[in-house]
Amino acid sequence: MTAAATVSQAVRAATSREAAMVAVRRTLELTGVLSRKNFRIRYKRAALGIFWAVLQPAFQALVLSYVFLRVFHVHQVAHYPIYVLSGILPWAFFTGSMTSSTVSVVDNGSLVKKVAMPLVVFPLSAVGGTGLAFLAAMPVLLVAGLLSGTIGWSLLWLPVAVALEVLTIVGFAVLLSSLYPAFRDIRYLVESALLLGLYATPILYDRTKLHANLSHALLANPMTGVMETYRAAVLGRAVHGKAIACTIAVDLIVLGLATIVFRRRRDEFPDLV
Amino acid sequence: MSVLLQARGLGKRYTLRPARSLLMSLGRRGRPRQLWALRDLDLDLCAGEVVAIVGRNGAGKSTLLKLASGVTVPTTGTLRRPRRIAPLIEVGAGFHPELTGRENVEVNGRLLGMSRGEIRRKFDDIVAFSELAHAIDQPIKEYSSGMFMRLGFSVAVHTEPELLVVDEVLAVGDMPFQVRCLDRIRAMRDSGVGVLFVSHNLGAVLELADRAVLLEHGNPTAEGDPREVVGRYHASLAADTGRFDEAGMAAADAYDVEVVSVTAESGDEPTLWLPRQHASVSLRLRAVRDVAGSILGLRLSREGSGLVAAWHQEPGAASVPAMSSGEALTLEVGLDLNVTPGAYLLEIAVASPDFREMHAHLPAAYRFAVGGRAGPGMVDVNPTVRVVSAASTGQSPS
Repeated sequence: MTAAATVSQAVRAATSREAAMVAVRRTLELTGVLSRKNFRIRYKRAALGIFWAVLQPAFQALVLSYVFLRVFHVHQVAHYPIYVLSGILPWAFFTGSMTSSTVSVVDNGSLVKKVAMPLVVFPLSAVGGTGLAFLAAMPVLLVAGLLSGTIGWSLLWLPVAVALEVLTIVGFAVLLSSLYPAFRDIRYLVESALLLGLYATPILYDRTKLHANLSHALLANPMTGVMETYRAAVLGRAVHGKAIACTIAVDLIVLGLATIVFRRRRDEFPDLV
Repeated sequence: MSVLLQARGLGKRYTLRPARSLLMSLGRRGRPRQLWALRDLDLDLCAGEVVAIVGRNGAGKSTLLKLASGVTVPTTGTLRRPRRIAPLIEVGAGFHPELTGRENVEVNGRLLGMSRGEIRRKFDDIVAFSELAHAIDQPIKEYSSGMFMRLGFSVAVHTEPELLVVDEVLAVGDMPFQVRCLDRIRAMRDSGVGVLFVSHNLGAVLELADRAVLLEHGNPTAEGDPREVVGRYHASLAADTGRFDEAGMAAADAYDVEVVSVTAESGDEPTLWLPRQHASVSLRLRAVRDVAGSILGLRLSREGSGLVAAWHQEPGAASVPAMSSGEALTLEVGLDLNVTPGAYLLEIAVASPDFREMHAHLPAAYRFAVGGRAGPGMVDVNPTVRVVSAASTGQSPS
C-alpha cells in the first residue's frame, strides 16, 4: 500500500469518525432540548405545576400503605410506607417513560415528516421529560430515607439505582417507539403489560418474603434489580449483586434488540406517522 | 457556481401494505404493492438558483421534497445535500400549542440546527420579522393561524440555510405577509441561497423560478425554462381531461358539447395567456333530443383561490335556439382575461331558460395558465394614473 493511500484512508477514517461525533452530539443536544420541552408541557396547565410530580406518588403511597397496613393488616415489611414510596416513585418513572415513548415517534409526526433529524431523539426525549419529573420528585426519596432512620453511606447507591433504571428504560423505550408506527396495537399491549408489571415487580411486597422459586423467577424482570437497588439506597438494605447482574444482562439484550429494530424500521417512519 | 443539491438517477419506491394490526401482520396476508413515487431524476441546484417542481397531486413532488430535506432516504441513485436546509414545508412543524411563542422559537430553532447562542443573537430579528412582539410570551394556542405561520416562517428563514425547501407556503397567511415572504425568499436567493420549491400556484412559479421541472407519475418529463415547462404541464392536463368532464355530462344530457377551439385575437391558442388578452371559446352543441332553447353560464376559478367570476345569461332569453334531436350548432363565447397570473379553470353550463334543468355541463371546459409578473390579488383592473391639474405653488392644502 502506498503512503498516499494510507494517508487518504486515515483521513477518511478521521472524517467519518468526526461525522459520527457530530451526529452523536446533535442527538444528545436535541434530546436535551426536547426533554426540557416535554417536561415543561407536562405540568404547564396545572395550577400546582411540578408539585404534582411529588404529590401524585406520595398520595398513592399513602393510600397503599393505609390499605395494606390498616385494612389487610399486612405487617411483613419494616418501614412499609417508605418502602412503598421508594418503589412507587421509580415505578412512575418507568411507566411514564413507557407510555410516552411508545407513541413518541407518532406524536412528533410533523417533525418526523418535515425536518431531518436523528429520529431516536423522540423516544429518548420522552424518557428525558419523564426523567426530569422524576428528578424533581427525588427529594421525596431522600426524605423517605431520612425518615427510615437507616440512611447513611448507603445513599451512594442512589445514583447507581437511577443509572440502572435509565439503562432499563432506554432499551424498552426505543424498541417500543420503533414498533408503534407500524403496529398501533402495541400501545394497548404496553398498558396491559405495565399493569401486570406492577405485580411482577417488588413494589408493594418484599421479594425475599416470597417462595424461593417465585423470588428467583422475578429476577427475569429487569425492574426487580432496579427496585432492590433503590431500596438498598433508601432503606439501607443489603445490595443484591445477582439481581443487579440480571438487570444488566436483560438490559443489554433489550438494548441490542432495540438498536437493530429501530435501525431497520426508522426509514419507514415518515410514511407511517 | 457551486452545486448545492445534486441528484443522479434519484428514485424512491414505496411498498404499500394494507393497514394492518399486529395480528394481521402475523398472518402475512396479501402481497404488498410496489409503487415508484419518483424515478430517474437528475437535478443540479446551484447557489442562488430557484428551481420549481410542478406536476399534479401524486406526481412525486412531495417525495422529492422529502428526499431533498433528508427526512426520507432514496431507494436508488445518489443525492448530495447541503448540511443546512430550512424546510418551509409546513412551517411551525413541532410547535407546541401550550408553549409560548418565545419557548417555541427556542425549541424550533434548535431543531432546525441553530445553536443556543445563535438563537439568542437572532431572537429579536425573528420576533421583529414575525411582527409578534406583543404576543411572544403568550401560549401559541392563542395565536391565529396567520400568527402561527408568521412565527414558523420567521424562525425557518433565520436559520441561515444554504437551501430553502418550500412547499405551498405562500398559499397561506395574509397578503402583506405573503408579499414579505416572497421578498425574503428573493433576498435570500440573491445572497446565494438555493431554493427548491413546489407549488400549484403557477403564477408564483413563473414569477420566482429560474428553472422548472415537470413531474408526471414520478418521472421527470420536462425541465428548463419555467414558461415552457408550465406550458407543457397545461398541455398534459388538457390532454388528460379531454377538456370536459364526461361524468358531469351524464346528468345533463340534452346536448353533446365539445370545445372546438380556444383562441386569442391572433387566432392561435397560446400555451400561456397574458393578462387582459381576449379569449374566444368555440363550442359545438349537438342536440341528442328535442330541446326548446337554452341559456349559457360560465364560472372562472383560479387554482388555490377559488371562484373569480360567475356569469349567466338572463333567464327567459334563450340564446341557444330550439333544436330538434340531431341538429347541431356552433357558439362562440368571448371573455376578457382580466386576471392576474395563475392557473385557471373555465366551467361552462347550458341550462333551460327557466333555469330549472341542466342541459349540458362542462365542469372543466378549459384549463389555462396566465403568465406575467405575479402579484397578490386575482383581478387585473387595468389601472391608469394621470395628473388632471397642474401642481399649484404657495398654497397650503385646505
